[in-house]
Amino acid sequence: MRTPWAGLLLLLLTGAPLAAQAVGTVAGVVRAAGPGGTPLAGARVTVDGGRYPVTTSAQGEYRLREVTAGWHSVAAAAISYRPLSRDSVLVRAGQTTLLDLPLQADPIGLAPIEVIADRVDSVLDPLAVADQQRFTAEELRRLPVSSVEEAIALSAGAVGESYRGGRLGQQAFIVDGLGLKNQLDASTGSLGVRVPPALLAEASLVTNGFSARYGQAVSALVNLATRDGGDRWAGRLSYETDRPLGNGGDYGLDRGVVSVEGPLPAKIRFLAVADLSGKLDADPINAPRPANPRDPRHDAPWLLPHNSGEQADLAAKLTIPLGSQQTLRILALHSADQRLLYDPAYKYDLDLAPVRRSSGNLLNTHLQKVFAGPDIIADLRVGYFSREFTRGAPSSLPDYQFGAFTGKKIGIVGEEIARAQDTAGARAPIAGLLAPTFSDQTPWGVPAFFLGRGPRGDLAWNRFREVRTRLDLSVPAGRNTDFYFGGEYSGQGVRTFQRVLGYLPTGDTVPAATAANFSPWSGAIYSEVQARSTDLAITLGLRYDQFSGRAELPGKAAQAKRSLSPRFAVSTVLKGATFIASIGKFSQAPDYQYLVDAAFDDTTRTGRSRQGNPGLGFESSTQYEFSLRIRPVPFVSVRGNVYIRRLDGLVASVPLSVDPDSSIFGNVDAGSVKGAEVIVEREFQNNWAVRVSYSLQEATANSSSAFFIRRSFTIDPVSGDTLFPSKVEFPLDYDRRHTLTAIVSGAVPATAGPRVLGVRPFAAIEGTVIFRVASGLPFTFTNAAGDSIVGLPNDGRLPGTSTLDMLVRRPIRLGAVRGIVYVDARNLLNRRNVVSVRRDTGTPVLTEAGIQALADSALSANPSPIPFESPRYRPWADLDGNGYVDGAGELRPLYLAAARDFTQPLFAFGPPRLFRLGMEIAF
Amino acid sequence: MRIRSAVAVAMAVGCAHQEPLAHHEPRADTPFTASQPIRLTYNIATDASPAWSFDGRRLYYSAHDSARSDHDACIVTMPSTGGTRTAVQCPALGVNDTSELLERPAPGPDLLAWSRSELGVVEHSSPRHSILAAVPVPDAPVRLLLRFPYATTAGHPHDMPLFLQWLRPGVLLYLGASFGTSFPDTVWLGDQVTLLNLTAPVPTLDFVAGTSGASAVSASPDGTSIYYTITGDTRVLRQDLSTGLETLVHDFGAAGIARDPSVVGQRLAAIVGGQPGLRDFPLQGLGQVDRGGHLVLVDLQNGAETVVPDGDRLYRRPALSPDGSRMVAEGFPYVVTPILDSSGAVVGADTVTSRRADLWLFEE
Repeated sequence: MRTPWAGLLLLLLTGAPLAAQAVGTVAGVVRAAGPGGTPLAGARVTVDGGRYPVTTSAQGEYRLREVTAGWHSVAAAAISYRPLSRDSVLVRAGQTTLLDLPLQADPIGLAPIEVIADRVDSVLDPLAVADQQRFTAEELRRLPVSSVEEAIALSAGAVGESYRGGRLGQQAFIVDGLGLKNQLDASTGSLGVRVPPALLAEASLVTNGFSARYGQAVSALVNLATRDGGDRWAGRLSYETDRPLGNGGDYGLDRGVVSVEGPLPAKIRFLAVADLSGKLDADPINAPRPANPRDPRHDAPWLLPHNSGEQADLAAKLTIPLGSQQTLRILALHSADQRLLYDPAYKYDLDLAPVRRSSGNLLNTHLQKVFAGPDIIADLRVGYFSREFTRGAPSSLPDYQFGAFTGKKIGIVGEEIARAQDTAGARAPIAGLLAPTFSDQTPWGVPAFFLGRGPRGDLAWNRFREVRTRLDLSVPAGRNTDFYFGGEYSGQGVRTFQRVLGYLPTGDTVPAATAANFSPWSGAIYSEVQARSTDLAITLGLRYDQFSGRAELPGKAAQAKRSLSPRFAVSTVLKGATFIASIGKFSQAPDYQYLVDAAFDDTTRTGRSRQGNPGLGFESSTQYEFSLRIRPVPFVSVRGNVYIRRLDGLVASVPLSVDPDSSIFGNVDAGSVKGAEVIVEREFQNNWAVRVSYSLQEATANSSSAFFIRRSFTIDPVSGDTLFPSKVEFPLDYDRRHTLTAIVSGAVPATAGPRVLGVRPFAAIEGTVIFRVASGLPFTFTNAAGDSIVGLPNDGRLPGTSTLDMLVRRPIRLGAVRGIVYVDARNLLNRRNVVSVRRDTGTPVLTEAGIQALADSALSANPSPIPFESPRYRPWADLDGNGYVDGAGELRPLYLAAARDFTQPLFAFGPPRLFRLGMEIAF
Repeated sequence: MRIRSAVAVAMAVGCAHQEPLAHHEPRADTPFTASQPIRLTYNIATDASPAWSFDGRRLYYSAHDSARSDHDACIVTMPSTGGTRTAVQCPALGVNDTSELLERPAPGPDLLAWSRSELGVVEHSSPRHSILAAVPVPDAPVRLLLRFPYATTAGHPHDMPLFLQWLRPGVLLYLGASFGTSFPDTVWLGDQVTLLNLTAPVPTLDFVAGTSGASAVSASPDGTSIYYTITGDTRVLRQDLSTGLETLVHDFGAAGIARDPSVVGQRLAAIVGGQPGLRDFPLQGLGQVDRGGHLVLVDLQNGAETVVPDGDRLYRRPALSPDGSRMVAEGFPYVVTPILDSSGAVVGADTVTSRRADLWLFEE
């Protein structure tokens, strides 16, 4: 008879690593089977066939620390007792899995092993102070999501890849315990590597109180724990597509996933995953059908050309036991993707629109050694991470082999110059680039808005490399105290190149190409102690970070930056609820892209350059949080969090001297995020489960910028004086006030439903529905030219959004082959969510007056008649048949149609309804 | 089996999605009207220097694009039957203080050559000229063949090439010219016929003896001789380039000053009379500031002249097609404005010739 209280008490007694986010603990008591069975001292408890052996205490207690998150088998053996093994024990990162092991008396000791599956409560664990929202591999497979990021975005407090009001890049990734971050341009670029969901044991989002082990995250940790290969050969093969769905449903999607795992000699276990996907329209739009039948989108509004993408994620993992005390894990991951990027200005000259290519590599080795005597566990991790990014004009169009798969890299004009960082050679126009002119391929003919002949001329390349080494020591100090020590060092390499208006020589109006090549480093040490008493657990941690950008720019000395981050949490159990209070400071180095000079095009052919600032320091946040977790009835839990996060030293662009076109980055912004989250979860029982989360949040920035203050004056009603505030506040970019997410899962019993031709067609069908409703994000108003902010930043707010996604799966059996067929539907109701607006009007569509003004402006710039032989001549527009399209009567309708076409709100709406048909087989 | 079927179906239904969003209103390769002569271009800016492709299927010419803010001129091409033009080479945009004119296309089987004039519109600096070449496809990489100015062996400056054309593969023919001023215009005065030989490792210039003072030149179809005219002269002359032997091809006599000859077989086309603008320039002496003239065809077998009806136009630069059956020329409209006395009676006429040319096609 075990009660939740007993479990909690045992947890408190046995302890767990507070927030070792990639590992968990298995703890419990080994006792003789039967009522009132006596605890067995000296029993041997192991994980996964013999590793991590521990011996039970005089009270029969055992504790297996630093066990990698995922599914494991735990075995216990004692003299004169029948050995017991419990398979499928789920170890969750940062939590303690409670597992009692009753052993049957067996004087002979030759009985077979008994296998019992068991799952334990993971909610009311008072020693897990982190707000951790998890998805196991199996849960990921049951959700209508395609990537880890999409799953994590279902968490409370998440807005896409922004967490608790933080901007992109303020999160950090932990892959098998090793930090992973694109330190070069995380705030504007991708991570570069994607962990295939099929490789994962568990993915979770940690939004507070994370261990002092981990820094480099101001907003949240995304913790990814990969699984080990199995002990028998098995695999899965899946394929999904939307191509049979025809127009309106066919976006050219193909995705195939293969995973293979099994044992190798010397008890080595192997796991490999290949996840390949191609999309002929990688960014489907839900914009309305244009009214003008001459607009080619009028007949086919659903699919954009030159919007394809393909990506490949290849991973392999070896788990190598080195005796009974050590395990070496080697994970290798390679990701590559390339995208054709639709540019509305090149709607009619698609081969000139830009392309983007990126790739990433990760090699992660982890050696764990258990020093049995003092019970010290040492984890040594060494990782290599690289990310490379190139963007520019395509040197050739892709040659599609199957769907969107080309099987080869898309070339980019001038990439060899960029890779060589040849700024001298880049003074001349880049070979292969022509200056753009107004397109003559449009239905409207007139020289306006749409571009042709040459691309925009931007070329960007960068590469970030890192070798990160870290050592973690877990040292028990008596029954109720654990110490954790460790540190990490990361040597990095940054190389960048940028060139704009590449079809022109650099000079007066074209900024010189910029390049950077430097080797920053960062390091950290930490110490953490966790102490427990019967009803109280306290964790105290301290982390010291230092980094040196080493941006060796002329006249600017490299400066090492330092940060000290204390973290404290206390948790206790009060009247059936777990209460946690935590405070922690978190620091992260700024994106290195802000340390280097940049060249950019402001689109008016007065390209500018921006100085890097090697003096940038840490961005930081300090979070105060109270959490309460209760389980009012079995299988139902309620979690509530209230937090305040103070942000400081945020990187922002500030004017440099009096030149309004010159700016530099500084740690100048501050802000605060206040929020509350409620998560109600009913676990999967009796064939259904539900999880509802709601978050309320207010994220504001504080600024003392004189520009903003001058815009924020008020008039004193008494004196009539103009009053300026000392500072202004405005919403941060990801200030989403309300978010409600409901995930409902259900399954039809395997024996339910009528039998038709010997088959129950509805039996064993599983389904998950995700409903999300959220208030709108803020946006900034600008003037019509788009070069000046009107009012304060983020003064406007988008309307709310809602989506309904659904995944329905049904197991199948084809002879000896087992598998699943599924239908994955996104935005099932095809709701047209407004996700962006024009900054000048605050609406997706330009007003009719605005369109007319745009057309008239273009007409006045090019009022010349269009002669018959011109490729711009449109016979239907030559109303008087004189061989010219001329005069306002003939030209203005064309300019109006062109303006209307150009200002279509293609990307103002979220994705349309998307279906995927899939099949998975296991072998 | 079902799996394979499903995959096969998925592959079969996968369609080509990358159809661009181009508008699909193909234009026929026909002129706006078919009435003779056929007006090929309606550009409100100037179309000039028409030349036939070696196979006679396309026309190349220089067109000012009024949509370009820097008033540059491009080398364009259109079907020889008329229709839509296509830009082949255009100056780079973005240097707005420079006006670039790509003119005098010389299409060959392998290479298209042309001249480039670059004029700083801010400083009103002297134009810089060069001869460029590229394969005859749009926006092909360009090769610089010759940069001007240079001095001839006689010490005369050549600032630019006129009547650029291929004499034979590897050898360009042009009339070296210097510039003079005739307010408010800059005018080009022919000096000497020149050959640019590109077959040697280092391109060489050959100045054709006996052609000093030439006002126009064209190559014979077989590339062995040249036809040329002399400033202020009514004759069309021919010189065999291998022997230097000069012969009279035709003398227009009282019809006026001859220029712009084009010869295919026994047919000669030339501009005669009109407004040759014969003037005396301080440095160069006698020169022509041609505003166009009458288009005359000559049967060289019998010397019979046929004056092509003007149709309210003066012509320049006639070019016979490779088979001699068609001819294209620049047509300059002229307007006759009556001069009235105080009583309203017509006492004379003022003829104004436009400086803007369109191209006209003449067919047998």
